[in-house]
Amino acid sequence: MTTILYTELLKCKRASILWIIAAVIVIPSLISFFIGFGSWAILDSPPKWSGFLVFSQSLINMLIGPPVFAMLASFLFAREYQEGTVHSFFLYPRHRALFFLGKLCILLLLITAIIGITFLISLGIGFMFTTTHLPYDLFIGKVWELLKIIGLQFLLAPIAILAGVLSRQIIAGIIVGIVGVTSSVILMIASTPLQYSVYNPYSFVTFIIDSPLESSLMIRGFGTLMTLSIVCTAISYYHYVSSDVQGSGV
Amino acid sequence: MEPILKTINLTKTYDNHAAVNKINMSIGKGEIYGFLGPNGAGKTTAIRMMLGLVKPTSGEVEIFGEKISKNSFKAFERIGAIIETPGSYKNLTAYENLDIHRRLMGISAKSSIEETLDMVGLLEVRNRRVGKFSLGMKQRLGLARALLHQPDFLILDEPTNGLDPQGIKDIRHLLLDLVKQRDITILVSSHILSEIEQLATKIGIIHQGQLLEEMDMEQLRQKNRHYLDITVSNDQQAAFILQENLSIVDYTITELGKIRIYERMNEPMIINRTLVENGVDVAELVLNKGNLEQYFLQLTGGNAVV
Ligand SMILES: Nc1ncnc2c1ncn2[C@@H]1O[C@H](COP(=O)(O)OP(=O)(O)OP(=O)(O)O)[C@@H](O)[C@H]1O
Ligand SMILES: [Mg+2]
Repeated sequence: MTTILYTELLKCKRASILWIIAAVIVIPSLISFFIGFGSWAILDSPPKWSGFLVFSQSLINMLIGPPVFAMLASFLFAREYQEGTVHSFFLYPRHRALFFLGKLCILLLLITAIIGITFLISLGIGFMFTTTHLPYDLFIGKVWELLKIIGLQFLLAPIAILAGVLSRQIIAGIIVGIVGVTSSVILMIASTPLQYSVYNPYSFVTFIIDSPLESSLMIRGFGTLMTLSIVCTAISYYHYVSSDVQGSGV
Repeated sequence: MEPILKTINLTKTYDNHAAVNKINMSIGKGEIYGFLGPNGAGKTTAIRMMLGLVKPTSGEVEIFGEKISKNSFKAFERIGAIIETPGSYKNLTAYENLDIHRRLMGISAKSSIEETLDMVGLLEVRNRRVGKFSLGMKQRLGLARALLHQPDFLILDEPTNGLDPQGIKDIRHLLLDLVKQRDITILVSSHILSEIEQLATKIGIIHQGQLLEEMDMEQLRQKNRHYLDITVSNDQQAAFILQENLSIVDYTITELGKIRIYERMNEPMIINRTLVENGVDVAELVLNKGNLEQYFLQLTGGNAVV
């Protein structure tokens, strides 16, 4: 299994997807920087800690995260088909289930790394600009939220994985991610009542952070997300492991 | 002796259309089996089934005496394969691509990478990204991947695709060397007979999913020798004259008044004159250049890409 994880990472070396990951980390960090800088330059007062940490997190969670993580997911799962390496890939003396599991692990690792690094950078920028100590409660609260975001984003990914595995095209997952986010934005703009919009997992992941939901809505939303996630993973797994292999090369 | 590969009524049907239809073939140890068929004949589909990549609709495949499925890991360790145009990770160098392969195959010796790159003539470009490779170089890298773990059985689906004539020759020599040195067995598919004619020891011709013919290369050559058909008034006398006056011994009397000779075929005028001068009338003299390519075309209904 370590070999699978290691080679899976090696395969990402110099991949163009890394630029996108870098952009995902840099953009919220830049915004954090301007929050701090602007606070001094315009208001001539130190920015508040909460401003830093909330902003970059919700940006990732609501807008940037879903499409980018969808792209990562379908990249990981569809690349062998698209690059024509699928034949040799499935001729290794290793069970396809392990490859599937390995890719899931790498996806979780990348999501965690992206969100974690962005958080650390925001924290660093915060130390640069603020004059007060970081309140302990705020820090712990934010770390807890961070973990929730990682978990929720990871639970969203199987929808894109399924698209990637079924179509054997990386683009399919990207489209799913973009459509998902767009739908959540539309629901928000149309101020759809929560009891309906929680059914959209892309909306649900944004609610859970900003404003605590009442428990019936919580169950409804989380139940939908969880069910979708498990069903998509199961279908993807089945398809990945047992369908005929015919990717074309070049 | 137990064959290295055996297929039993191997069949794959796609919406009522049989891409591969009840193929029974067998490849013995040390053989180079030329799997020949025009585009769309079913070569790739058959090969995918042999490797457990595609599930047969019916029938089965045995390699090294083991029934093949997608989890035949023991067999996979001993097989090297190229299927269609082999892909590689374009963001990685040739070396890194083989390194991934080495790790996943569970080979510990790192030196195997450079050795194999050298074998296929890619050592100098080992640190170049595969995205910048030409088609022929990618093909060689695919071959390197198939060879790296020193397989006992090589399955190569159109390995010369995209190679220039020198490249085709290089690969042919490489494969012949491998057979000599390591005693491996090879299945190589092609849609061009001349490409595997000088390589194969046995040929199987597949057309529209069916294995039309399977024979030793030697047998095939015999079948397709050039010959001269002569129609004469007296075959016995003619045979005697051919033997005595022209020292032709390789001939047969195919039917009454017809002689088929396999010697001195480029001298039909001399043969004609000699026969006539010795009192045998010659009604017809036909040179048959039955070459293999034509034979192949004949079998596959003439729509092969040559
Ligand atoms: N997944 C599929 N779905 C439907 N038909 C298929 C599929 N794969 C192959 N076929 C059909 O099976 C037949 C055999 O295809 P195959 O690729 O095995 O031929 P081939 O001998 O390898 O040809 P080529 O020389 O062009 O590589 C073709 O008619 C093709 O259209
Ligand atoms: Mg083919």
